[in-house]
Amino acid sequence: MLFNSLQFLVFFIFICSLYYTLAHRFRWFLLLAASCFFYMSFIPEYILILGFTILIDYFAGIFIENAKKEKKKFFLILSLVANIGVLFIFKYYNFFTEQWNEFTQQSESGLQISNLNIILPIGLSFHTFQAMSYTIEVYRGHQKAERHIGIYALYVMFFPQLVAGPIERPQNLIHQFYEKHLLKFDKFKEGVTLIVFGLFKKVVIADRLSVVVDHAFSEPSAQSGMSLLIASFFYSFQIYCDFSAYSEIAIGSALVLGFTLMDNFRSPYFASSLSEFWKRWHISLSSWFKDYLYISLGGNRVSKINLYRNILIVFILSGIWHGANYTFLVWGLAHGIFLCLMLLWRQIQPTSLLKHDSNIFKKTFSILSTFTFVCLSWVLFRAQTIGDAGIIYSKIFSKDYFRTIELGLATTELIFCFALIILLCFKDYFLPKISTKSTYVFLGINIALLIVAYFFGIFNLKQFIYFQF
Amino acid sequence: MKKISALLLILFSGIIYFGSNNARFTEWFTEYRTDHTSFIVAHRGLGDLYNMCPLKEFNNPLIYKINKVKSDTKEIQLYLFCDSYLVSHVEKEHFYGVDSLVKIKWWDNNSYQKIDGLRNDKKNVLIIELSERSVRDACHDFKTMIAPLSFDLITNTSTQISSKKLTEEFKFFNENINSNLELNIFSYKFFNRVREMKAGLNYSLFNRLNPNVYLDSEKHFLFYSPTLQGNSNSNSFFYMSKEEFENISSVLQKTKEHFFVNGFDEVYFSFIPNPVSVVHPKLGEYNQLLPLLSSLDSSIIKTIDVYSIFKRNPKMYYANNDTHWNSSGLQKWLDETNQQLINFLSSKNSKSISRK
Repeated sequence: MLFNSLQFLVFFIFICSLYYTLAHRFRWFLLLAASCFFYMSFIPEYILILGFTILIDYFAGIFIENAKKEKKKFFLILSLVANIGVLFIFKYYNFFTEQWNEFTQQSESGLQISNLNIILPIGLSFHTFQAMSYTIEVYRGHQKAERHIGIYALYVMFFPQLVAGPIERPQNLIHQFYEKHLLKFDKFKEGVTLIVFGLFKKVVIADRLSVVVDHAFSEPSAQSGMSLLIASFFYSFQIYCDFSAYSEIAIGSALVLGFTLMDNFRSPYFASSLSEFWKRWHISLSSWFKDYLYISLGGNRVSKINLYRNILIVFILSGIWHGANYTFLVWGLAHGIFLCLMLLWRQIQPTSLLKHDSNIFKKTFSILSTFTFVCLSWVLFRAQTIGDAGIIYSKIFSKDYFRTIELGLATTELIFCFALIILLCFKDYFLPKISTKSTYVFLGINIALLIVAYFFGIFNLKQFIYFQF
Repeated sequence: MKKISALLLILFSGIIYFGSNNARFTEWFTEYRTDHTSFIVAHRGLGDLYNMCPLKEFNNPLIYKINKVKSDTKEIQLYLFCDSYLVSHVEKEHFYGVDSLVKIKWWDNNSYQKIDGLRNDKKNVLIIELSERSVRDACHDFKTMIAPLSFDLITNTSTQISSKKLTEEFKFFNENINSNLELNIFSYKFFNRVREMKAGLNYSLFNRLNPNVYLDSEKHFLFYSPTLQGNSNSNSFFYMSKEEFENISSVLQKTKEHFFVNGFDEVYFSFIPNPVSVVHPKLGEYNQLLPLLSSLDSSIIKTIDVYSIFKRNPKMYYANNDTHWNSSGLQKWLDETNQQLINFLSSKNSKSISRK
């Protein structure tokens, strides 16, 4: 059930109306049933996998809380192994067997291992990480173990953020299931505005840019450098609009139901450094890695060598989190190396040079250079293989730059795409949150956006990019 | 007031959601609207190109008027393997000499049948109709060709088929729910005007059409894109090797022999041309699939050939907003088919045909 589908619209209206009609004591059950239905609408059988990890983590949480110090760690490890084990089997097993088989085939010896005939359950990485954050927080004593299995299941499965985040923390979400939410018009307006903005970004911008991106990346060797450069530039905005749209619809839907979820994006392309970019992009994942991995490895309070090691580990794992492909690994590694180089650069710079951050030219240059790096690194993220990424980079920096520019869209539509990107930047920079306090403003903005989304939207039910993770 | 609004929303969204999840409800609701309003609710098969790309100038709902034939004999038990178009448009009264007609829809497992034998008191005739866009995929494999009708000795087939159909209709997670919802909520006269505005705006501003649709340069015909673009077997301009064609003709012959062995008295094949193969064959390099099939010797297969007839007057037989024929095209096919049935019967007795 995609957020940009009629199915979700009707489903959401049905659940919302029923939610506010029901007595508070029954609401958790309604949300849980709705979440199960939502998840099962993709592939029904995979609810069993989710059920398995929910049961493991539910009991692990209670055991961790009740156990003495040494046993606490044992139960935590048990829970982490179960979660990572499920993730490994479904997401990485086939990748490793393929690498193994290729290796043994080349050396003409050794055992060939057969692949598993399985499909990656939708949003597996998201809900696994959310479940892991629960047991870690219980272990650290920041969260009490949840005794109500229905509420715990709902924490993992809450449908607005079940398949593509934001990856929530138990301290922020679990207590909200116990609170009675009344229908407040202000929250409702804010939620609906987020949903409509999200829908607009998805169907008008992201899916339109995807025409160019898919065209160029499907056969990069047939494209000119300019086409690939434009496609890479468009992909930066496609993935941003696609993923931030999902997050906005998720946050908006939760808000209509009375729940507050964490922000996931804060105008990431206006970051003036790579470290700032990661504080603005997919915040729920980057803060997850920071809280549960980077700090566990010692964080900043280690020697310089270990600091760079920690950064590289976090970024490599963050890359692999996105999928079992060398492209993601190299993408993560590239970000890690660039961040280390930036840190090194800052350390060898005279302090006087670092004080001019408020200089507008320097800031603009920093923003543009950060964006350029991020944009070029997306090529690794989007390319099918490392070989394809190599072709794209070599073409972008080659002489046949203007050979032929074939982008799969009419010129007027390309101009429209650039106009949309500029509008998006304006919206992100000047209007981080459109005030919807006045009902007329709320209605005006939303109706206008819906009309434009209808007339210029591409409704081909294209899945959100982050669903595959 | 709030409660009443909420209850109304629950009722409306619940009915529309669970109704659209159910194929039977959607079918009933579609028929109801078509019968009770002047608006013809779009049918959603691949054929309806206007529904895919609602440009105003192509809003000409297809209305079929075909003739029934009067037969002075009822000697034929006719089996027809066909696509959804013929399933919904032809009945036994349209065929000469037919006592009963069994229509079996391609690619639809619910429609496929197992029988324990053919009728002894009638002449059993089989017509295998395939649209050109499906020929290469279907005819490269013998098993695919004979799948619609099998001859196992299972006596209670009807019970099995009907119980299967019910489970299909009451699927808890219906994969067609989005198109059903669209049909149930937005398929009305008013919304159609809005859809036309959207399609017109996107075409005039961005030259953007639904990617499944191709508009010819004269803007007279909409074509289904896979029949003229891309590397698929549906494409009339997608190269076909000599070996592939030889394989197709051998599968067809084998199919014919299989059904003869199982008791059929005659087997005909009818390949319905892609509109682009007839109307605009110069939009690419035609792979000549249909002329080659027509040229096969009757000892290999017997064909009901409309390609050569349609070529004589290319723009007469196809709707310009649909992959299918208009009334003239369908009538022409029926005329040709009936002529073949008459010839078949007259090989034993001379019969005459007169239209009602």
